[in-house]
Amino acid sequence: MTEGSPRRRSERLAQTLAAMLDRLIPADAQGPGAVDAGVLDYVMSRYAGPGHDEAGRYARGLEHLDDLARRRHGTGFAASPAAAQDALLAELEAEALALPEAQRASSFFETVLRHAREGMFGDPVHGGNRGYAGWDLLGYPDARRVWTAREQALDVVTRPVLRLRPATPEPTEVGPR
Amino acid sequence: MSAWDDSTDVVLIGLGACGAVAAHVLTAAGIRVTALEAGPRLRADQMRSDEIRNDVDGWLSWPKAAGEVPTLRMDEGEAAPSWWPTLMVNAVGGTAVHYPGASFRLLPWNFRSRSATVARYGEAAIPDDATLADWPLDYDELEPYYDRVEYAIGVAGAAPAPFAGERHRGYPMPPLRRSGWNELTDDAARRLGWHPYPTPAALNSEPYNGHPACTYCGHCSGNGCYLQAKGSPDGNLIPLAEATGRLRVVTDARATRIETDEHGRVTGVHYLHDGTERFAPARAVLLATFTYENSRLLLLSGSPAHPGGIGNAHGQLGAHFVPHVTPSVLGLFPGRRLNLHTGTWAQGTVVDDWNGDNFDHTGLGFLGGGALMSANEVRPIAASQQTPPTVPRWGGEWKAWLARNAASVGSAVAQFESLTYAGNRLDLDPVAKDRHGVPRIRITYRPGENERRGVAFLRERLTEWLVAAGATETWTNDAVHIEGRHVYGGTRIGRDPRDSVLDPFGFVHDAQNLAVLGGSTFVTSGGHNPTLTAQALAWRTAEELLRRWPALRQQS
Repeated sequence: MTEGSPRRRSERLAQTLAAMLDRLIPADAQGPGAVDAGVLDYVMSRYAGPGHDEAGRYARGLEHLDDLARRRHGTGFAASPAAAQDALLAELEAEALALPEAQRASSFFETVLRHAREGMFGDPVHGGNRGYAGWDLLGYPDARRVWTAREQALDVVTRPVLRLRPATPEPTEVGPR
Repeated sequence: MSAWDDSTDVVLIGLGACGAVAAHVLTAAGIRVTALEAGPRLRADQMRSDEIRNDVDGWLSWPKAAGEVPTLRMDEGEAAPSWWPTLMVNAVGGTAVHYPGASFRLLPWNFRSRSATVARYGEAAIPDDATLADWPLDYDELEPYYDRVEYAIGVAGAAPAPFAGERHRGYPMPPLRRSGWNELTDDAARRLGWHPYPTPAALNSEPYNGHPACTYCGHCSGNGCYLQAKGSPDGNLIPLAEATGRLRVVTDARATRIETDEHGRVTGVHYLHDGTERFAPARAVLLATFTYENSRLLLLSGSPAHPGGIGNAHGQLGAHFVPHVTPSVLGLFPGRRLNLHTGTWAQGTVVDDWNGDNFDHTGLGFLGGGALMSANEVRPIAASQQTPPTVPRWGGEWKAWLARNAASVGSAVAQFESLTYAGNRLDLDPVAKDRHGVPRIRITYRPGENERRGVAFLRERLTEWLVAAGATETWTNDAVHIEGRHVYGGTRIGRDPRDSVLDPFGFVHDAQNLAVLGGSTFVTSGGHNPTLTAQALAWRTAEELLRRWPALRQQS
């Protein structure tokens, strides 16, 4: 149930979102989880934060998830044990997958999962993939513009050479068109 | 009316892959062309290797898609849902700015699939509600135009390709570099007894037309080329046409209506520019927008001489619409690094053994087939989604699977030659409007049993292929996937006005100073990427306009 001031509410929703993202992409032996990899910042700055088209949908979805946790476990989602969190998310996922294909992608669960993957594996200029955590997980080196014949061969390891990127996107000068 | 309006001979609506071909042919012959392009001019230095910007945000296509994406429904009587992602681009160069450049010729069989099917399998092999027809031209008639486009835009390829029609000379450039994945799938296809060849691509395998060779960056689709190593018309045909001094490009010019006189002849085009409605008079008009938009503008241009839209005298406008349906299969190659993040989508291996009538269809229950293709260019967000259904889609197990296998997933896709059916068409949506309050196009499309069987058959071939290449596990989606970028019909060409909108050269049957260019003119979908064929047809239409020009000039 909604409680407290608007500020408290938005803090609680942010905690719920952080907890959800960290279960979708948990910290483990394979590397950092979503929050440490900047995924929460990415999602807040592009989708869930104030002023964005999808902020309302995020708020409703997170409120629902929190309510569900309270009803099942007597505590909010963020304070629930990991196994209980996973079970709740699995429930949301099953509901989403049961929807007709045309509606599935816009369900709350699928939306957050899609945005989480963007934040984890997208170019770090957008605020996610901090420390290249996502790219390291995949074995993806960088978005360089030239790949050689040798690097296009099978089973060759393509190591990062271009990971120092500016914090904001800048056009690359290649001369007048 | 401004002075330049009076000095224009031909108004071209849309300066994309096909409009640019026509602009090049006409201006080279001394005709003055004004091109109305709804989008802006883009520059090579705006192109970046950023999956979020290009693929997630779709910065090139979203400005168009946001307000104008067609609605889609399966059957008449249904409301059409309002969101169907497509990749139309409004810009100088059009959707070809961000196409990956696959540049195929259709098979000779594609142009006469009705008569050839009847001859080999009998009339009963064609589904009752299919509107399958032969094209009003054959491959040999189009061959010289294929050749001209290949040399004008620069296509890299290997000739002769297996099963392909005769060509009078080779490609202007050797094929793109073969990646390890290309060779692996090539070898596997050969071991299956198939006949693979490299994807022909409008990408520079070596310097061409004053532009450098491709550097295989891996951000070719959904993005323009930072080097202009792609044969998109913004880099070659449009500058050539502008250099004649006879092409005037008006950007941010959105055509709203084609005007006709009391005799039904086209007199010019109304368009919006800088927030005001303007009129560009013309002796002839070429309509060269995307398949959806070609039908839309003709439907919106009705008049007493053309009730229900220009070219709609026999209810043919919007009819015979068909998209490709595209099965795909993924495979896991344990322990192997496929390095698909390198290179471009058009750097691929193609198999035509299961395309057209290159195999015996007796007892299969479907007609035609499609090219099988495997390609490079898998970006990281996309790679994170390529997990088999046996693996969770999130959480620790998913992460562990990605860490072990993300670099070892390869895929193959086919483009099935879906049939046109009487019930499938484009019309104006009675509800959904764009930001100007103009009706959006509505797609009514239901694939038939022919498509379900064909897709299932090709999915089996794709699976065989990946297994032969070393996949230990394969997975796929059983749905019939509709490819909203490969779309045909709505204004098909034909000899008989009762079953076509355009004459065999692409001119509207009852408005002979108006021609239509693009995939909307196709009679059948074919089993290959369509752009080169659309461009070859555009070149032929432009040449025909030149032939008819003395007569057209006298009439106006």
